[in-house]
Amino acid sequence: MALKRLLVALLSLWGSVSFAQNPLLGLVLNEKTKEPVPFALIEFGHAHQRIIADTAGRFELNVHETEFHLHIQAIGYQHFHAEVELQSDTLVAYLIPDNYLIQEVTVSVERKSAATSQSSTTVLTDRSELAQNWSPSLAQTLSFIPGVNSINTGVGIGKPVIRGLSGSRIQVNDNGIKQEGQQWGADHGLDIDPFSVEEIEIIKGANALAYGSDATGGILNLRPATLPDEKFSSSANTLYQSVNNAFGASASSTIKNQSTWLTLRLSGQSFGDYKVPADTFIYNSFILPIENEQLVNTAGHQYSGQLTTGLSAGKHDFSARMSYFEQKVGIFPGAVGIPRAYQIADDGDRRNIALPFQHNKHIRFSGHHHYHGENFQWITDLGFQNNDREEQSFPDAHGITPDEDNTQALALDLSTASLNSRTYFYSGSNKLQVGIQGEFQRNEIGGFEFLIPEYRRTLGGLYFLNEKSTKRGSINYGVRTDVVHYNAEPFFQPIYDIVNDEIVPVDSRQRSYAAAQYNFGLSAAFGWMHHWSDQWVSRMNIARTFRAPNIAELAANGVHHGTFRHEVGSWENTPEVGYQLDVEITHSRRNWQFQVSPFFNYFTNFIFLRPSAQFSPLPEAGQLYIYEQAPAIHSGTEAQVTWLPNATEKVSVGLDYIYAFNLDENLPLPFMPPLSGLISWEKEWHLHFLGAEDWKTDFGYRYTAPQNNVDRNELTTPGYSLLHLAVGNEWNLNSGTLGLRLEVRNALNNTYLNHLSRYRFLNLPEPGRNIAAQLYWRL
Amino acid sequence: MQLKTMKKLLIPVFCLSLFAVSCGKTEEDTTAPEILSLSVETNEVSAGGTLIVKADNKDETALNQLKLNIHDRFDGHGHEKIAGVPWEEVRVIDLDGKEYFVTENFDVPDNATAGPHHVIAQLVDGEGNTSDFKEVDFWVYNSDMAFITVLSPDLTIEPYYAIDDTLNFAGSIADDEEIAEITVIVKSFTGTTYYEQDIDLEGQNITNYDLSTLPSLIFNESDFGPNHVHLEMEVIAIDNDGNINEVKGNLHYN
Repeated sequence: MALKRLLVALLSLWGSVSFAQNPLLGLVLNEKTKEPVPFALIEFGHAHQRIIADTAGRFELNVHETEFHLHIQAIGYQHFHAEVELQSDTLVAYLIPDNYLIQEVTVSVERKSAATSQSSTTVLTDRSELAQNWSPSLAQTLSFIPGVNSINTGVGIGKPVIRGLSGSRIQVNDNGIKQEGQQWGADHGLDIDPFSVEEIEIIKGANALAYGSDATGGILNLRPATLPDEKFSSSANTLYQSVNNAFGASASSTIKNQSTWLTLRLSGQSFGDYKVPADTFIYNSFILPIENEQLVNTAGHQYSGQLTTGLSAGKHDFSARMSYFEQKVGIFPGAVGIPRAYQIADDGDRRNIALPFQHNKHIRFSGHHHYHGENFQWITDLGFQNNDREEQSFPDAHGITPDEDNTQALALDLSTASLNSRTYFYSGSNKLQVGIQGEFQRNEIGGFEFLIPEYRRTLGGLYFLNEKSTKRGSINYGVRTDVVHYNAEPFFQPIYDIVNDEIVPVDSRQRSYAAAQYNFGLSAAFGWMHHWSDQWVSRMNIARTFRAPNIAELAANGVHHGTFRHEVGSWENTPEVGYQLDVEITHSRRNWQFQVSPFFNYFTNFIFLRPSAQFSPLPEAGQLYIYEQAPAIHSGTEAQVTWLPNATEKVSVGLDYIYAFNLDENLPLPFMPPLSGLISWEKEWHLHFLGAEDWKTDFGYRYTAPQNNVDRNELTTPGYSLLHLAVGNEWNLNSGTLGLRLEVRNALNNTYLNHLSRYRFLNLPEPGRNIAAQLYWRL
Repeated sequence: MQLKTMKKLLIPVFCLSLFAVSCGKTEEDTTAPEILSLSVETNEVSAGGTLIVKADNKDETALNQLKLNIHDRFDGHGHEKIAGVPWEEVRVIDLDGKEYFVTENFDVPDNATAGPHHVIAQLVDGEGNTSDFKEVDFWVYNSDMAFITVLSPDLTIEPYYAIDDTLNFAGSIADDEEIAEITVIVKSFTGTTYYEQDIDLEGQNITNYDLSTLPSLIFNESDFGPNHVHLEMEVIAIDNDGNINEVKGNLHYN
């Protein structure tokens, strides 16, 4: 075991949470980040008394000796043993993170997300948890967290969902810059390499104030890892998944000296068509074959690279980052147009990517500056990103292209320049944050189909947020104003026909109109965090939120293949205004903890796709679905119980439930995840096997209830259960550490449908039993 | 004391959530309308002729629209080769009342490519509820398509074959310009293929093909088994313009 350190010191901060008697007060912190480690199990004294730290890492010991043995364990950290010689009545223990995978090394300024108020419902997940739940798409990886789901198109494309809200209602910040990648589209995934993500902070509920007016449903903050102490460090990961024959690899290296550092990461993965435990599916009363129990053309590959460099000079920290992500993923041919047996016949090649497919590229450059002032911190992020999406497929309708061999159906080219700058002023117990945000966006289009027009968007925001520490917690309050301006171009889709044996344009259809919209909005929030006792902590947030409509909600006019919907936006749509209440109550006892996070949101004019009573005039299209507004309620809760029966085991039960409906018709809002619960058991076995000790196992059982609360024309989805098993360990070699993790997902090979999958519409089952192996090495 | 304050905070949120659940019960009509029947008057129509589509539609409250979509179903066979004009037509018909019988006449274009087509129908009611799709198949013929004559087997009589019998094919396929592709399939009604010949003639300027040049089909017990099998034979010919013609018939083994 590596180095262990114990620091016995007086904590001046401790005064704010003093307790009645005079026991020994302790605090468990992450050795690297200096952040609290929640739920650590503390064993002490000759009697091996046990207690558990609370969410803030605090614990209280009634010791009668001045010298005693202390043993601390927490999942994800190395064991801590020490002989304590008491010199004061407080102690701080630093635990060393025990990651399954490598700590990636990137920017290491501003560790604590200072923009996040302590009153928010926040989940922090790190490398080791991400590795335990690894999936080809980042959004799917995060689905283990109660309240977080993923809208999937096969296994390669996933978009994150927080409490049933997705797209432009949640915000993904990658190293301080908001990711912009046509997130309005249900089959537009998050173009971020899951290998490159070191740590994610998930904030549920309204937190728009410091992040931007879009973040009304929640935020994913992809945060940088800490720099290692060594001058040179390297790591490599490889993984395999049986269900789609996926191979992935990622390697990173960091060079560091006194004041500068440089990190390079390169990753790639390739996967084949995925296996499902079924040989037929029923669509529209036709029984269609799934040859070899394999969904044809669901293969894909993706590559990515990140180069990050930083410099510290006196009170200034600078860093710059460049990243590139490219992905090509096949779409099940039956999901474009009505599926026919001949289209979905096995093409004999599990790894080829035939039509239709998506080809996406995302490049970004960002710069970061942090000035450490006397009583203030000034942080600025600048970014430029380009998202290039292409959907290739055969022209379904005739006459929309002069060339039947042209397969470029849709091309969307989005460029975004962003600036975020904020200053924190510290004065007594107050921390005042003043920030500005600006964004300029331009979208260009191509392809023989049309979905959204070319447009420019300009966005500006200004906010004030004050956080005040109280005796037993904190309160925060703030206001924000935003201006959003859209300017869209008209588009005429040409119609071709044969005239004198030549294909020429004979007519056109106007699919969009020149239009502009200017919105001004006001957001406000109040939050309160309070420690009622050492066992009870509450968090509460009340907010008025504002979200300007996205381009699809304003100007979409095209067919969503697969669902046959002709989706139409409207420039009449006005910004969505919400009144949002989030609460979190945590109760911690000796070795268990209970947490419940109910929320209740009222939107005065929620924007959603509502089916009209009209058919589309376009060929290959069904009904017209129109982006309309209605007052809506979005409510639900997450609950979690964690129990540490002893020093080597952790049992947890998590649950999430959402209930959302529009108040016009009292019909449920579409695409809401069903009630779901996860029971997990992690254990460390002290046995010697294959030259390693302390084998770790996980067992997970998820039950997902049927989803019968569905919108008009939305399919209900039956319930299902999934079993997950894993085992892993690490070996210390002469050069570095080698780790192995083996797991079986969907161990019972259950056939089930995912309510949030794009393929749900076709009654296509989800992947079957999946054996995954991860092998990693770090120096 | 303080815990009571916190309960005061928690209880209203749960009440709000419960209120949400209780008032989210809808009175709305979410029942889908239904196409009781969809048919074509004859399932073989000529280019330049008329296709008559009949649909019987029903909804609990009020029907609104029926969409009829006519499309080829060339099943990828020659889809890329199509030089002609596949017939594609969309028609939206306004309906009202709880039951509505529709008869629609479609003019088949003079230059329509011959081959299998279908009508896909869907209903929407006044609330926006949609029905399942219904489909009906038909075949478009034209004067340019390849002409198929099958003399052996005699498809007019559903011939019977015993174990170890040999079927020698006879007949011809003729086109005024060029035959591009010929497919001959013998398969069981349950989908097992016993015989398949796919002959690509594209670019060879062949205008006449003799079916007796096809390999014979021997009804050996190892392939067909000891029991009776009801077989279907298909001869499909595609010409250089993408016109598809097909002749089908039934055979019996044992």
